[in-house]
Amino acid sequence: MYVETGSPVELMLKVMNYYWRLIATAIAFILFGIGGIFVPLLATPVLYLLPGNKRLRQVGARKLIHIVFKAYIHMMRAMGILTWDVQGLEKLQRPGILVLANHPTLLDVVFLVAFVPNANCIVKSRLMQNPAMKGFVTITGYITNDNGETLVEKACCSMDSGSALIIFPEGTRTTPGSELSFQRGAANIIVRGKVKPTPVVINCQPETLSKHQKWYHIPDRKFHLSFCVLDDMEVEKYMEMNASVAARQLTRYLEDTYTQEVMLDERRSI
Amino acid sequence: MKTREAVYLKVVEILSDLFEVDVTDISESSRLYDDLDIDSIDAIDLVVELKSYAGKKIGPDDFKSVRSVGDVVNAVCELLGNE
Repeated sequence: MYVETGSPVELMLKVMNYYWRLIATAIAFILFGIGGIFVPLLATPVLYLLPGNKRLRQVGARKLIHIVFKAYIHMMRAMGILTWDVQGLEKLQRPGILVLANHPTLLDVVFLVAFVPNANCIVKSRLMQNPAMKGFVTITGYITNDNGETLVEKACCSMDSGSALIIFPEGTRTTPGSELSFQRGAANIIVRGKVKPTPVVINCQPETLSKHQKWYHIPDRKFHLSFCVLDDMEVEKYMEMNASVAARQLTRYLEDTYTQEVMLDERRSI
Repeated sequence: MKTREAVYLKVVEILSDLFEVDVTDISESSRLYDDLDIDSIDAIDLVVELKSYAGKKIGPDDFKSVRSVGDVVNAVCELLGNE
């Protein structure tokens, strides 16, 4: 059947697709909430019952999250909510790397954990007050953000032991339309841990699931997330300087670099 | 014995050398976090510097309630036994 552009049939299909995606998005959110309670509740005792030590339990717990998040993003794609592409995925498969990404959407961390095996993250310390999460978060060895003193040290130890550490230097999702503003934690980890960061530039078109947007603010078509993994950044010169000055200068350098890369990426995608 | 004035000048010097704070922005009432952009990681570096200046051990509790530059000066003076 030939459908004229903008014909009533096409319009109706578009409206139906919109409502389907709205329902699918609701299902995805509900599943995430349910999973967030039951996966840790079930996995924690199982991991303790299986033979193994602290280290093996950590590997197991992270592997589980990696698989669950992978399944979750494939489910969302199958439901027609979104699509994605990754460039340079192999760069994320190395142990002990520091992954620094911009943070346009709520799903960024889900994708990065689905891409990176044995990923460590920095999580809100509030998670430790959640009875369903507490035990499980402890097993994963995820770093809590409550203490700046120990955070840098823990981050460096984690990478030394071979974990890939994922950080969003902005500390929170990007406010759409405003400039990228990085906190200094990531730069401090780089200069004190002497590690070259692996940048990931994330782009979401059309914009959705950003800060200040509710779950039901879905775009008029299925959205696409692109992940571009760049080569490790050359930041050696900052490692020889006084750490607190270096962290400030490096933070500005990172902000400039990411702002540029995000702009280039957006231009490519339009 | 170091005077309060000397301690204050030392604190200003550390803030400008280590944290790129503009000296003209600093006063006794400047708040470290809100006005001078000193974060919790900087605070550790600040304490390390002050420790070597005071020549005394600084416990984690000594700087718990520190908010402003004046508070830092007071805490250091207290450590040095000044009144």
